[in-house]
Amino acid sequence: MSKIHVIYEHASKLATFLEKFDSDGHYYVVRIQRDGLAIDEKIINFCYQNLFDTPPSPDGVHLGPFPELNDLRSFAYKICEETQCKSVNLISLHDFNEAVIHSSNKDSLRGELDKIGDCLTNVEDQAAVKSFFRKVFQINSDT
Amino acid sequence: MEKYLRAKSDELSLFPGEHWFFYWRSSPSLWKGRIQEEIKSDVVIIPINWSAHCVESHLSDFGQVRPEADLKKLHDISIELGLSLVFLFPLGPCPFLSNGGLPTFISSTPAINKNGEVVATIDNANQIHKMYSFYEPRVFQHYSRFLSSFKNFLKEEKILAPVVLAEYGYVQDGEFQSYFVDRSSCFTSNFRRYVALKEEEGNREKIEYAKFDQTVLEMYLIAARQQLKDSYSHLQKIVFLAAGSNDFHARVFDNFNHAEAGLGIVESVRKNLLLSTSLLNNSEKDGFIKNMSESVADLNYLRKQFRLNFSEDDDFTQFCPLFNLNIVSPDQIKNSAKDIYDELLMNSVSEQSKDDFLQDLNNYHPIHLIETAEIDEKYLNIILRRFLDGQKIILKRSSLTSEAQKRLDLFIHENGINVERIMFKEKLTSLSLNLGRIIILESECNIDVHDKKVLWSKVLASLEVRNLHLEAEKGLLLFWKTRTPSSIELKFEEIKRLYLYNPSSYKLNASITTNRNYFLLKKIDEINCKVDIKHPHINLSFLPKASIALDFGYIAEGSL
Repeated sequence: MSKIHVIYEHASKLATFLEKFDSDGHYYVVRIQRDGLAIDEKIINFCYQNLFDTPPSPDGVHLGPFPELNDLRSFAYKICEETQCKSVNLISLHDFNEAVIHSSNKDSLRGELDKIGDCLTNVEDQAAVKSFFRKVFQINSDT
Repeated sequence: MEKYLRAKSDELSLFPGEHWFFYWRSSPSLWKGRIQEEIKSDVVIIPINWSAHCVESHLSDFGQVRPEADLKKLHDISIELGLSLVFLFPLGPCPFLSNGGLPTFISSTPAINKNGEVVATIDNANQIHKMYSFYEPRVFQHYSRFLSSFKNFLKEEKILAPVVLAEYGYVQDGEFQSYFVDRSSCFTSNFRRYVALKEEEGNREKIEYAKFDQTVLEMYLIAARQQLKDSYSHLQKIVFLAAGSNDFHARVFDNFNHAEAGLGIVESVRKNLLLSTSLLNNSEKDGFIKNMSESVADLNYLRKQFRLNFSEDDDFTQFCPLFNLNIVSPDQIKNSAKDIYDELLMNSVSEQSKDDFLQDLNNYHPIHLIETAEIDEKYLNIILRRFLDGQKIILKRSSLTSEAQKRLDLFIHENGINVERIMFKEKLTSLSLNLGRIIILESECNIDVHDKKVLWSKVLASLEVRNLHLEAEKGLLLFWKTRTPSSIELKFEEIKRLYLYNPSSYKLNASITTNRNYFLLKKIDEINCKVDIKHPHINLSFLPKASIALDFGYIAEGSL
């Protein structure tokens, strides 16, 4: 079961790096990655549209806007459900940059991201695991 | 031992000249043996590792203190082995070195990209290298000092090897992106100061970030040219495959993106940039990327890149890259009509800087499209010389300075050039003399994409460029090569090879329509590709990571 990593930032901070980016007070997703497999853009757009009844802004670089951090969390969770991933880890761009600066290799960076991120576990996925174990247990008890 | 193993793991090199010699990774006593074992070409490329030569903040060492910094020894070994030596002196951060090659005492501000992310790369051993800002004034001061020490070292040791300034970068969204570009706090504060200074000077124009980037880069470039003087060869842009910010994120999460890497290979060759795959591990390099790199690279690639002598006659039966149109364009400016040229010419379009065009580096392009502004008399004279040599050139009237316009009129009058004027979507003037042609776009009308396509297909047809027609799903990569016909192929003027690759993880379809100028000779190197030939159509179905090459015999319209 793979994991999704969402890196986000507040528009006011992004505006300091981007020449033609006006801060609208919202949050934006900078990157979405899944372990070992890219996420289809159609799924990302579908999840956004499903939650906000509108397609994401056609910025092409950043995905959003998300008025509140909780909106972003709901979106991240929705993607996790749609892709049937184990969990989704939300990391601010500032924290991600700090983790890169203090990591010497890929494994230590991934370990650091797991520590600092806001991890949401896919409950449906866990339920599926439980029911699978229940079935196994039933089969065992029957025999 | 670990260092030695890491150096050995670079062995799967895909492009000629990728075996750069990383002297700081092994003991000087092993240098000669390793160069003999690892350098497969007759050129040994030595990237200068600034931090490896830093003893203290103000002192540089080239072997006087530490034997592993002894560049004179390396020079002597290369002479002994009969190899040409080229030094690569960094113009900005190096993606294969810790701190991007900056000495630790000045690595204080991490470089930030246009997305706000720390600029970092992952090497073939999964080590992370962070880049640091070159916008800090003290970095420039120390860089100038290091340049001066390096120059003195070359002079004292009487080393005549060329020093190439290396601007390292990557290809993203089809464009070269330099590691020099940075949006850190250092950049911001210096940019504000620069804008304030310009305003004090009375400049009211809005200054863009890219303009400031160029100004700072020029500052480093001028310092390097002045210091290195006769040793200075040229500025070389060097692309590291899969080393951009998108790749960094993808590779951290084990998502190596073949499509982006494939595009990086094709774009590097189109833009005449030196390519290195040394940051990829062997499993990332193997298979699709290896297959693609081997077919795209050509024999004289390295010698062309480093402007070393080579004989074109040595390999006339070998395939070399084919570009039907060469766009001479300013740096970092995306050509909006490039997609149209690519579609009409099935991607056989290259790009060249004005400097490279003026130095006549790739004179095998059949047509040059001059997109640069401000064509002055000197520049025009070179264009006219090419025209007299039988080359074909397209330019815009608005790009000529008033002096250049007068010079052109005089040239036409003095030389009795045949002039034709037509109005087709736009006003066009055609100048011809023997094989040479110049097409001048007289006005810049705002015609739509469809009309632009029609106009350009007519312009190219008038220059006798005839191509195949391709209908393909998005994502397919194409590359052309050409060679002279062998004794049994003399009915053709040229043998053209078309490589098609599907770097994606899904199936793709394509259909090629041949015409009377192209005869399909054979299909080769089919990997997971189904071919169905129903004359004049060649239908192709590609599985993920599939590829094929098709050889065509070509007869020009005039010879039919």
